[in-house]
Amino acid sequence: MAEVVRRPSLGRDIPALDARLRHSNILVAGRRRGPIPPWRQFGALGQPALLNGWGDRNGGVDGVPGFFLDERGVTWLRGHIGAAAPSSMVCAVLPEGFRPPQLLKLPVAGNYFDTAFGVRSWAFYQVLIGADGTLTIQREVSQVSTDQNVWLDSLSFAIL
Amino acid sequence: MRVQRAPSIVNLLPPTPDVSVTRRERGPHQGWNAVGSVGQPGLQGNWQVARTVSFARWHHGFVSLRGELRSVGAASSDAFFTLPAGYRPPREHRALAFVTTTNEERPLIVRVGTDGRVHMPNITGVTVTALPLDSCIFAVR
Repeated sequence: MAEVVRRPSLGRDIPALDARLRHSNILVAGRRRGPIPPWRQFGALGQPALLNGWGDRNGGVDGVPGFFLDERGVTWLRGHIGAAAPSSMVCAVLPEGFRPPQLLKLPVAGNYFDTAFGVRSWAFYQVLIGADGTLTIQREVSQVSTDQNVWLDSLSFAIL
Repeated sequence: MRVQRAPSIVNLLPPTPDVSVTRRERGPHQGWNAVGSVGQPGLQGNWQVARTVSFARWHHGFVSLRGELRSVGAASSDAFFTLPAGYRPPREHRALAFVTTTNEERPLIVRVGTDGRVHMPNITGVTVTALPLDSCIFAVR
């Protein structure tokens, strides 16, 4: 006879869990600080679009590109963007309130298809984040290439 | 089969910051300190400011740098500058930076020592046209 694995009942444990959260200050901190601000998805209704051929090319499989501002005044980015043949390396513009006070240059990981050698290569890219909210992608190498991909997950910066 | 999801209510909100709490804890603890300004550490060796270089300590115990340096002629092995006590990491911190020289662009490691020295020991001998420090963020406790 097959062994029956029972799921623990969440309902039964809620009072104990609540007590533990209070003890660890998580619940108290959560109430004091209010709700966690939501992630905003590039290209979603009411949110900034990805520009110049850049987009979420894999339907979010490699990470839906988005951003959010935490309670300390730090903007965080995440997700993957790519472009087969971008018309410009400007990929998006962050809205006001999410922008740094001055130009920032931050390193990120990415890859591209090197048409000279016919192989996909990993590379370091640099993202320029302007005080006007412009996100511009720069790559370390200048060979002719197509099909570029960049991951934004390591990007965070202060807006103050 | 791809499932078409209805737009989340979260994404229907206007793209404005909705953070309404602990305003006194937002931003740097005592503002940004510009390297080379009165009362602040100065640049050393043949390093020069390309974009205002500054550092700040945050309420939650982190220090961040921002700005960009360049070298006048071949880069020296000197530290760029030395962070004052209270802004130093408890162990050496290494951050990735995308460095541009007259020959190439490549990722290199910026080091912040426990003595506050901010330096890049393996860049000597080439002229650096851009060395952004924006990726240097570390805990001070």
